[in-house]
Amino acid sequence: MSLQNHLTHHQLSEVLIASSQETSPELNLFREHLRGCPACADKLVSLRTPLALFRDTTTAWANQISASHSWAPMTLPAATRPTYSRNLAGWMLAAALLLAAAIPIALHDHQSATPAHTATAATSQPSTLIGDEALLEEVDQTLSSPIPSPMQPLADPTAGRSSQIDSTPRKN
Amino acid sequence: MSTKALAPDLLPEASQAAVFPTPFDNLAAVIETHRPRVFRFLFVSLRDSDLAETLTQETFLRAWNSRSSFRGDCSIATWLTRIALNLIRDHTRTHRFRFWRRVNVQAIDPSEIAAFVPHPGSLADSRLIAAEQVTLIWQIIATLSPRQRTIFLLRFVEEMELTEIVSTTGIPLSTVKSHLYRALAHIRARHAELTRKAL
Repeated sequence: MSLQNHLTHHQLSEVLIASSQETSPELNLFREHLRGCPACADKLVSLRTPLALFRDTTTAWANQISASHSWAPMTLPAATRPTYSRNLAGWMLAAALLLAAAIPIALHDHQSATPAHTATAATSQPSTLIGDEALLEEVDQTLSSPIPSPMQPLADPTAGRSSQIDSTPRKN
Repeated sequence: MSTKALAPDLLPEASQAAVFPTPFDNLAAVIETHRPRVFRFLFVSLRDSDLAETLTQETFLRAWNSRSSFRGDCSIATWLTRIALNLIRDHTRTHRFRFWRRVNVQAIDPSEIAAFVPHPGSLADSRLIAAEQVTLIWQIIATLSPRQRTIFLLRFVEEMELTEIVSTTGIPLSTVKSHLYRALAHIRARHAELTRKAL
């Protein structure tokens, strides 16, 4: 490459992008040109300098921020998070298994309990009926009687006393 | 980072999970060596120090959990960067709207940057120019596509070789190169504009 033909942006970028150890016939040619061409060398420096500044500045900035932060308290929760989620997942799985086991048992119990309940209902039904009939009969009797049983003592207030009165001699 | 805080919590699992020895068996050493770089990459990519810190921890946690899949095909740095990159992708995907809104709002303050600009010379003017140049690159990076930004940062901040970038991102070499050319063209154009304004 002659010194008259300056490097294009693409060629300068090629030099910038490549690492210093990297070699190729093309790269060697560009580097040789840069050694002999101050204009191209200046262009390269004008690109390289801000990039180097940017790297150094961000490194210093990041290091300063990193140093100012206390890492210890923040580290533990993050470290335990997967254990926690694993535990949670374990508990959820256990709960699901329990549910899966409990539902058929509950269903089975419900099915076996239903005839028993029906039987209990069936056996308790006659006694209830008997009770009801007795109650109704009692009500009937009470209603059909001419004097209600609570008023029976008032039906004949003199009953049992008339003989006593009659037998008592009157003095006046 | 207090590696002691992370390591004891995880070490009991090591005896159960690690059948084959991996470099991650000595997690404390891995964290000690690679944490600054992982944090820096996340911080520059996300521009959020708290988020970068959280994702740095997450990176090491994921590395630990999947350490059995580390076959040594790539360096630990590449492997960790790949994990960090996946975390950035996950985060920006799930919080895309909020993330970009925050990035747009977060204007980089040149005075904040100036405090960290290396200053071999003590001239205030040269420091100011340097701070402006760094600010300019920050601004340009914000306008790059996520893929371009990642490739640019991996090459020019993390100083990764092109083959390492290919391995980390899974993007073909030709695409990696073309992204870098475009990013550099953008920087060159803006840099020229800034220099003209300064004159």
